[in-house]
Amino acid sequence: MILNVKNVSKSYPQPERGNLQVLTDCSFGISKGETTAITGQSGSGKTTLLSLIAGLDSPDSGSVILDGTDINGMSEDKLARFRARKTGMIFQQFHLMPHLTAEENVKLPIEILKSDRIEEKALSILEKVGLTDRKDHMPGQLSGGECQRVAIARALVVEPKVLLADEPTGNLDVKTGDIVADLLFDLVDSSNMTLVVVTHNPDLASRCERELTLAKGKLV
Amino acid sequence: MKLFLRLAIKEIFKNRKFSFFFILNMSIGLTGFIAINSFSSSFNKYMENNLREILTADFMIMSSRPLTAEENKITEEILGKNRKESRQTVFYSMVKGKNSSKLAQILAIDENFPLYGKFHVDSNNSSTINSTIQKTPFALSEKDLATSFGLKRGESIQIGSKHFKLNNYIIDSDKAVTSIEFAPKIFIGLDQLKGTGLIKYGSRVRYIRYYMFPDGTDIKKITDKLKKKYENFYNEESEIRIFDSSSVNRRLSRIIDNFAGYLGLIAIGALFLAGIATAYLFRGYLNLKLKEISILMSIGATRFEACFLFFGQLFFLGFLASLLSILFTAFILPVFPVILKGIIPTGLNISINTTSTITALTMGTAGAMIFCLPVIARVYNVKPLTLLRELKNSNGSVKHKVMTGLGFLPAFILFLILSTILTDSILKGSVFTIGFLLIMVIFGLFGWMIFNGCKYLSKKSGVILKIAFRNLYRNKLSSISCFVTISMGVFLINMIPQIQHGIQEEIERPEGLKIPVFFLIDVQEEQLNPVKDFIKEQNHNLSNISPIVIGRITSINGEGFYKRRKKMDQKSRRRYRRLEYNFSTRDELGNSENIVEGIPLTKDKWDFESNKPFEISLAKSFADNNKIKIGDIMSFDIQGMPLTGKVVNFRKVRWNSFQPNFYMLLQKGVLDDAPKTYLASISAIKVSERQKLKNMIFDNFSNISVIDVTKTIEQILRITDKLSLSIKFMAYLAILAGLVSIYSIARHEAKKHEKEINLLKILGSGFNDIRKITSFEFGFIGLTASVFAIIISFIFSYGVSFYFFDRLWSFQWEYGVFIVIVTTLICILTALFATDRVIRKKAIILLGS
Amino acid sequence: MKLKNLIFILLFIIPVSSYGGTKVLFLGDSISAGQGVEKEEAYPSLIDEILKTKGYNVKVINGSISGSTTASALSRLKWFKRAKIDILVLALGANDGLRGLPVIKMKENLDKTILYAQKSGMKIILAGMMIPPNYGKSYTKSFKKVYIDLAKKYSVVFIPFLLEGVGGNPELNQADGIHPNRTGQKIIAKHVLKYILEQL
Repeated sequence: MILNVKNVSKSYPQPERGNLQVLTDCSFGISKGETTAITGQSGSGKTTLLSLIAGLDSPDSGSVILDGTDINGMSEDKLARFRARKTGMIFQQFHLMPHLTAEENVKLPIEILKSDRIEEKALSILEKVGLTDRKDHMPGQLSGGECQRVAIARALVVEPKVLLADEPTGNLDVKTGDIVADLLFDLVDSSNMTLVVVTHNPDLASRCERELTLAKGKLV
Repeated sequence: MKLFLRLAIKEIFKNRKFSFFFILNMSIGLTGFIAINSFSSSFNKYMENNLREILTADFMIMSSRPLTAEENKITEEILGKNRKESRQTVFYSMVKGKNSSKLAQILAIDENFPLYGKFHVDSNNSSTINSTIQKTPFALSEKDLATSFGLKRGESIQIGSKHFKLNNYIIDSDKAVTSIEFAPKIFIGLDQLKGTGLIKYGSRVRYIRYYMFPDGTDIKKITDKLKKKYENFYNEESEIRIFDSSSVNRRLSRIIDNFAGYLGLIAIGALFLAGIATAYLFRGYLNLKLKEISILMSIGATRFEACFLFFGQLFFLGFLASLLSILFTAFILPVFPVILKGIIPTGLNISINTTSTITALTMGTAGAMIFCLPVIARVYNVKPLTLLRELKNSNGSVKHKVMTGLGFLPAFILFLILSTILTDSILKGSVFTIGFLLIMVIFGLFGWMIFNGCKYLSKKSGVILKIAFRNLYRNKLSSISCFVTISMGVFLINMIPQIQHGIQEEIERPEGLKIPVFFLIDVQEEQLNPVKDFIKEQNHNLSNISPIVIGRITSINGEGFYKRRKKMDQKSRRRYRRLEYNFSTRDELGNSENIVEGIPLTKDKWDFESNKPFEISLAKSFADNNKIKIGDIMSFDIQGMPLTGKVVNFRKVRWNSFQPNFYMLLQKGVLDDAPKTYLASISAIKVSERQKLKNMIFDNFSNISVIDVTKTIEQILRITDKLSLSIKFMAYLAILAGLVSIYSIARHEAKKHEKEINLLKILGSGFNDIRKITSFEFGFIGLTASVFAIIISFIFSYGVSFYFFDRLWSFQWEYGVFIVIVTTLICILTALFATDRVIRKKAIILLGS
Repeated sequence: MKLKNLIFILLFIIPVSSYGGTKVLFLGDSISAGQGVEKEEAYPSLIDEILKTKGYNVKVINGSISGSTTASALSRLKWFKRAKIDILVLALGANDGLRGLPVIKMKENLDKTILYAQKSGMKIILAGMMIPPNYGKSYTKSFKKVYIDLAKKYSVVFIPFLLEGVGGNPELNQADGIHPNRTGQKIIAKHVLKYILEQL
């Protein structure tokens, strides 16, 4: 098991309405190289689940064990580095640094991690996503699909154990979405990477080996 | 870290507009700071030089006998070799002219006199005249003296048993602001004193040594050391007195101190205005950047690294701003005297001083970070989680709140340190700082109240006002912060003219004041009417006639006055023991004084038979020095008669009115029968008539001393006029800089509204309606903020004047109104400008963003 | 009203006839007023003290004013008239001299004062003053002569020089070199006391 989620519950305080229970006692495990889709209706708690897996938030109870380490006990700074090394994140809104070029955006995580062969790694991954000729462009000069490809490159450049994606095609038109999804799955397959993708796009979900469905905060 | 520094620099270049406005604001503030500080130190130096020239030395020591070998040793030891010295022997003597003898003050000078300044004689040998009088028995005096002795140029006067030739006349010899002398001065060579036969046992002579030290020597340290050493040597009051340039005229020195404090206040004000404005800009910038921080954190950056990124930016921006401001100042300072001819005293050479340059550099770089620290604390509230979900972190965590609170600490400490340095007292500095903090809190609370109130206003208004008011209260936090920032700005801006006027009023010549030419002293009671008539016959008027009765203060609230004094002197510095005081009484207070505390003296005559104490009015300064409060009982001994009175009011005396003023005024009737003399003055006497009138008074009333005070007064007025102009100029400069800050705040705020404006446009609002809404919104913030700030600044400036500037305060509503109008207009116009820019843009561009 | 007040004040300061004691009035300037020392340390007070310890029934009134000149002497003396002064110590003139006022005028003022005092039945002790030599020979000489002449003219008791042994000695004077310090005042007291004792 590369990722093990055990009895995780999460609630958020709501002003004037008490706590809103988002996740209730969720447990599942994901093996290395597996691709998993988390689906469910809006408000079912899938994004919350993803944020807990990514260590961007901590559960009220239960634990998330990533590559053998319980991430909940870690200090924030340590977690930041751990997360950067073990996971890659792809967001619906791409979230690129607006003032950095495509190449600079891709380099950024490995620069933060002080990896070696930064230049080489970045260029190679840019080539894989097919953006070598656009590497000096700013995000503002790239199309949505290109931006997401940069984001994928940025997520993969650290060679993470687990790739986490939040509606990676949600902000793209159908055609571009398909291209990006193809690229994503190709890259994941070729590197035998574990992928967890949150989506309510049934096409995207169906491309995964496994589908976990959430309803009202519970796995069904 | 290198990575984040690199990123920081990149960010600066990518966000050019923000960087530009940030640097602009910061450098305006810093330029103000350096310029004002440089001006202040140049001015201080100029004033110091002025006072030094009046004293002719850095300091002098005076004794009534030559120093003993022991004393000489002590003196030599402390002063060291690195100095220039000039010796002088001063005494009064009856000097004989052609057919009359008159009192003159003889100043026997050596060849080094004067150490500072020049000796001016009415021929072209000014520079050699001193060496001439050393070798030959020549005397130098003003022309008036020769005339009064009936002497022509080249004739001799007799001093003691020696004749001195009067070949040259001195021009402008009398720079004495120090003391008013009874008799005209005659300069002779120190070596020529021999043969006069005047200096022998029993002679009353003052031996003076003037000292000049290289530039930059800490004179105060030397004099303090010397004073202490003498005091230890004598175990009590030293027989040797030391005067430095600050004791030339204490009041003048105090005024100059006040002026320096005032400039310091403006400098702090300018810096803090800039600080507030830049912090405000930065806050907006950081708000836009929060997402990027999230991204960085999601890809592995720690919080600290994210903060570092912004610190790095602030560091570079601050550094650039300070470099720029030093450059600005270098350009501005030389232009000051050119543009402001007549406003700045001529001969004032303004140069950038190194200390303020260094301060500017550190303040610019560290200051930018310090001011923005509370904003940076926001980074601690950033959660990368927001990248996944549209989370509103409206209620920050406790940790974030603590961090924000801690973020204010360095700014607070900086403020505390600066104001402590500038006011020269930790207590005053703390009062100042806490006051400021309090003001900010008050502004915040008031803003909160106003924008909550907008909720109700919006319900009762028409469409446009409704939208405007709703915008204001829905964006309450942003409205409040804009409100606080603008009101802080207005507050600081208005403080300056407010305090300026207080100080200036003290300095400026009172309007319609007749500056006295002659003071007549020792007019006997029975002489009063004859003198009055006599002066009237000469077509002049005797004015300011004040009775003087001399007496002692025996006790205050039953405690012996002398003992009390002694107790206080031990705590403070040893003062010259004064035990006898002048008492006076007057029917009406003059225009040079007014009651600052307590009630006026009753017009009723005091009844000796009543057992009630009579009423006393004290000069505020006297009361402060002696720690006397209203209601205290003071007992006097007036020529053998014990008298008891009660303090009912304090007067503030305008010292530069040059009217006879008294520490103690007693109720009518108390002094009626006591033996007294009168002091009076005569003003408006033509220069050509002065000597004649003086002689005539002397011939008819020989006991009355006539003192010509014009030179002293002119000297002081010259200095105070310059101060007064400089103060005004500084106030205008500060207002200008402040308005620029307000402009950039308003501009930023308006920019933030672009999205809303655009939305309204898309929804089909008429352009005029949009304009109305935005101008109303901004006008409302500007108006309420400035009105409220003005009110608070009136109160606060009163406090500041009260605490720091001897209660010099006067109500200046004109400036307030002006500032309110200008601020409101700036807010409205900048908002309109921003609106128009948005309106002119094509909708499609707006959609894209 | 004014007169009534005046009488009242005088009754108030000087319990006039209730004591049959001798009343001594010092009419002087800053030296007698004790400028720079406490009133109790000025020589008139010291004399009062000594006389009292010696058992004399005396009352010393110090009517001295710093800075005063002879021009004020007569009016001031009149102010004390109702106190029924027995002995007048007239110690004025130093300020006239220091300010270089004409000696003729000074003589006139003193003359009038002595005349008035004699008419009022006071015994007069005239304290001679001297002006520091720096004022010039002729002035100091004529100044000194005023006292000698007046003493002769009215055959009053004459102290040739009030500051005998004190004037000019830095040890006995304050920093200004002209006002006696505590020790100086004591010497003056001793000096003047002799003349007063003769009159008691």
